[in-house]
Amino acid sequence: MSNHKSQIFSPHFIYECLSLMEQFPKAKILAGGTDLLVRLKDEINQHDIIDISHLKELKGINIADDKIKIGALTTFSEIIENEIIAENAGVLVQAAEIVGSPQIRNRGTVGGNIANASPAGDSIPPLLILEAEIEISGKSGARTVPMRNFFKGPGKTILKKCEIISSVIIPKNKDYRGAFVRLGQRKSLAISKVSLAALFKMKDEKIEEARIALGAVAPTVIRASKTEKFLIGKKLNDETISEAKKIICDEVSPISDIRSIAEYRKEMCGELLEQAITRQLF
Amino acid sequence: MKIVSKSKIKVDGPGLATGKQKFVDDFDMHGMLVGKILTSPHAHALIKKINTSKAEKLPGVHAVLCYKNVPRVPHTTAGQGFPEPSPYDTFMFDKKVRYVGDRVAAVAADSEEIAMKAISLIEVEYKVLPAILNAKDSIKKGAPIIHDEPDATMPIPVPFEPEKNIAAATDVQVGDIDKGFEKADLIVEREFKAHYATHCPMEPHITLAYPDENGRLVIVTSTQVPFHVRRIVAQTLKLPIKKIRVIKPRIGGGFGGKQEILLEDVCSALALKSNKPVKIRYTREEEFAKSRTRHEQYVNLKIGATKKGKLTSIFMDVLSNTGAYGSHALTVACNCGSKTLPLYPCDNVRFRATTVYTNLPVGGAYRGYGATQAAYALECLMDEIAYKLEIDPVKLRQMNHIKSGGSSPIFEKLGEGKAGVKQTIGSCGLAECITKGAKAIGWKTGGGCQVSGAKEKTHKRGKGMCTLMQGSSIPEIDMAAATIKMNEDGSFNLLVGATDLGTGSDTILAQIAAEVLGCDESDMIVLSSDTDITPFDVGAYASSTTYLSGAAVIKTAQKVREQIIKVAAEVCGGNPEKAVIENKVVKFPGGKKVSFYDIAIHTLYLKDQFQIAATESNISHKSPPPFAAHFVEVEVDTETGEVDLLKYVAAVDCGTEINPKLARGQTEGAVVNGIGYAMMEEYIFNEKGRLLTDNFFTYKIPSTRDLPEIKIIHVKSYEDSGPFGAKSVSEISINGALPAISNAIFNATGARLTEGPFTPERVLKAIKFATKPE
Repeated sequence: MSNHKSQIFSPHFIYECLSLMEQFPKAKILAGGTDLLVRLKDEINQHDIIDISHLKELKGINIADDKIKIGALTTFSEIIENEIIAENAGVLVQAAEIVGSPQIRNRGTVGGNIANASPAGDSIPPLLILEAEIEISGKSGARTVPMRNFFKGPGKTILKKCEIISSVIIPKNKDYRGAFVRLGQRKSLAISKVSLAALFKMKDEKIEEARIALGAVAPTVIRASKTEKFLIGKKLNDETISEAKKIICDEVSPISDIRSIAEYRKEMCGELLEQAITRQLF
Repeated sequence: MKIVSKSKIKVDGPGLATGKQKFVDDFDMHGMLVGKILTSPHAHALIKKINTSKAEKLPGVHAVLCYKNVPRVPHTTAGQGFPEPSPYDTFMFDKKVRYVGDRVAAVAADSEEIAMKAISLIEVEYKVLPAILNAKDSIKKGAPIIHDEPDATMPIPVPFEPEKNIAAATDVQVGDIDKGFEKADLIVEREFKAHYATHCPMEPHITLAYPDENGRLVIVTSTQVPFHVRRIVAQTLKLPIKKIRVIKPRIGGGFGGKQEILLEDVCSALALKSNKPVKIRYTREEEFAKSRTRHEQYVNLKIGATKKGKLTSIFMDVLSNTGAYGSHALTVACNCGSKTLPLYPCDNVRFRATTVYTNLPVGGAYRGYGATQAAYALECLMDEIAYKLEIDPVKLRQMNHIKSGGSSPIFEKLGEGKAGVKQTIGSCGLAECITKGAKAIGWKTGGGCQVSGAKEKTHKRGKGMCTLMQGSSIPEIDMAAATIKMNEDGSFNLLVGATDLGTGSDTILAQIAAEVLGCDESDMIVLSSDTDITPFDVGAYASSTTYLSGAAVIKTAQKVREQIIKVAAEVCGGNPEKAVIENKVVKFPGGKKVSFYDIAIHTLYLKDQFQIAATESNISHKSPPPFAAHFVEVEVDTETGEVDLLKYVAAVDCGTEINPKLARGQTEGAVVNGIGYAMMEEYIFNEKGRLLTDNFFTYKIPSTRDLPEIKIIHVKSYEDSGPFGAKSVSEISINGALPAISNAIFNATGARLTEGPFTPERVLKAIKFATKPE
């Protein structure tokens, strides 16, 4: 046990935050704190903390003609209440609605959920299929990367030292219908055993485009690209669904852990796909 | 009745609601140290070397204990009557460790940081031994012997064979089961596994111990059994009882977990060694891995029945896993039989139980106490018989269940470490529980009741039920006592050994005393569970407090009432035989009356002064069972295995409800407790015997959204042997969820769940097994 006296910093501007990160490279970044404080429960006084919750530049939801820019500090509750997001990215709202509990939704932020890089993070599958971009702020300014390139493994991202997520940008699009479905250990306050987000664009009763993401079945959230490819041009009928279920189960190789077992997770990818399709498209 | 059967607010309620009541952690003392315990990382190992010198030298460390510097006294941690029916197989510290989490050493230091640092400085070299991580492996030939120490003993004459890893065993038979099975038209047989679980009280175990100004040891502790704490600490530390005082302040729930001397011995030893106050506070992780659990059990059950549904023979064979130590090893196993089998009187019954050691967390007392595990098997198998004979499951129970005036030879055969006590059922409202519960859930007669209305075509709905019994105290073993004394203003001190854990027993005991004395419950100043001040009581367990301690309070209050009336008669010349007490005034025919105030002043100051007071004790010659019928409706997603509970009905006969709101709270809490056990609570170990689900992230208990509408029905009955007709209520309703939900899932899907918890993974597997082509 060290005699270290931990310090908490509350910067108001990004540049201030970045220089603190440079000065205290081991400091933990606190946004909503719903994951961090739980993780640091028994060692809270051993870490310096940079509380970014006062960074105005990371707040707010900005609507442009073709995109929606969601500040990294936007809480799940704010996402749930935003009508523009509901119209253009309903699948994200569905995911936000099942996160934790009311208290966690009031504090937990979308930026924090992404930065945590959990394979079971509930906002990630919808954002991935919305083809979101992550805006990253660093010493040399801001850069934007597609979300699909952001994650490197469980808890690992491409974020470099002295970089933070400043916003998530999603293209506006009303042509898609989608669903987020998941299985947890109980109905609230539970990490997903398997989650699935899907978006479909239909033309002449056929699938023109399918986007499917799966959570908690691989080291990062993944796209079910074989299944997506299979579904293109197909009519949605029982035959298509049952074939798609087989494909999606085959293209994942989940692990067994404390929350579930591999075989069950594998099989449930198919069931969740069917639920997503039947709930949204029939 | 003016005070009893009324939902009076808890006597400690306002203080609790405003945060003023004191729990153990609210007691801080000048110079108080923090105690921490070093535990074993291995499931089974010998300590080859242990070096505590670095820890001892660390500034701020005041005491370090390990097996080298404490007395070696075989004892049990089970807080039971004396001599305990649990093996003396535990030592404050030993050279051997028997599960991941077993005690190795302890320190007391100025702060938690220093204590943790000191723990990390203790050097231990282990010789790792092969471990037993499955109860069925423990009785195999060549299995490692967990208790090979020569000084382990069993304090009472019952089977104890540590050389075979057997901590306890029993085998009783009435009639002849073989002949019974010959007479049967249908024989069903199945093994059920009731899994590990733990109590999850809001307040984890915590103890403060300090040497007082007279050289005595004071222990302020979160316990259900203050008097057993005093006795067992005296035993383990080799101190005279008179040197120890145990105080129980407010407690944040026990559920059986605090019927255990878990921290008191080591905390006291640290306090004596350092000559300072020491507090040990379990973390939630320690509470999960290193306190006590429900005994994991394999219940093999075989029942024979005639075509018409009459039971001809029952054979219940229990393999109980007590973990590394035999706390409650015998009695939990015996309760499997004694708290379930009398429910269905049958001429031929055999009950056999073997409790084995493993290198896993230690079993103990947990609400339900064996009845939970056995009722799962019995009620699911009754359901199976009903389906196979095409008799409505409700009707099968109605045909077979015990009724008022009935008895069972099991009562006499199976006791707690000795033969039981013969008893005849007094009050029994079970028939009404069944009919009212069935009506409330919308049960349709005719064998099974699959319901339509499911949300999706792949979802199926079903209903299940079960009937239950428990007991009220341990007959001819448990004892409770109370003292009442009168004050100048006509108020009374009520001193009870009975232990309020948040259950409300202080309140109901005050109500009982006030009812007898003709005053308000607010005139009773209740003080419970201080071994220096209150009379003896075995403590809060075996569903005993209302029934046993309540009757002790009645006896005491009656004695005090007689004294009051005698004085009143002397003062005003009334006829004591004809006196009544109303609102603290003794009234005689003809209008003569004397107030409590005048009586108190008279006896304390005016003439022939004396203290109006009495102490009375109570034991029971029977353990009248409360009865219940539970019903549940579920919706099962047959593709994901998810089970949604739609409605739960618990109809309970607990005799008179002394405080209806508190009784209802007990039932609601027990139902939720049972639902958590049935649906999600689970101990998962790694291949080395380490508990992986040791916090609330991984060990889930139900959230509000997981709970269905719960309807509680109180069925009135009057138990002549109980205080104002009361029986117990606290344990029985934890037993229902496991069998009722299993039966409902069967009704919905045809899949029989014989192992909990009913996670989607298990349910889906069972559905696949049930529907696969032969």
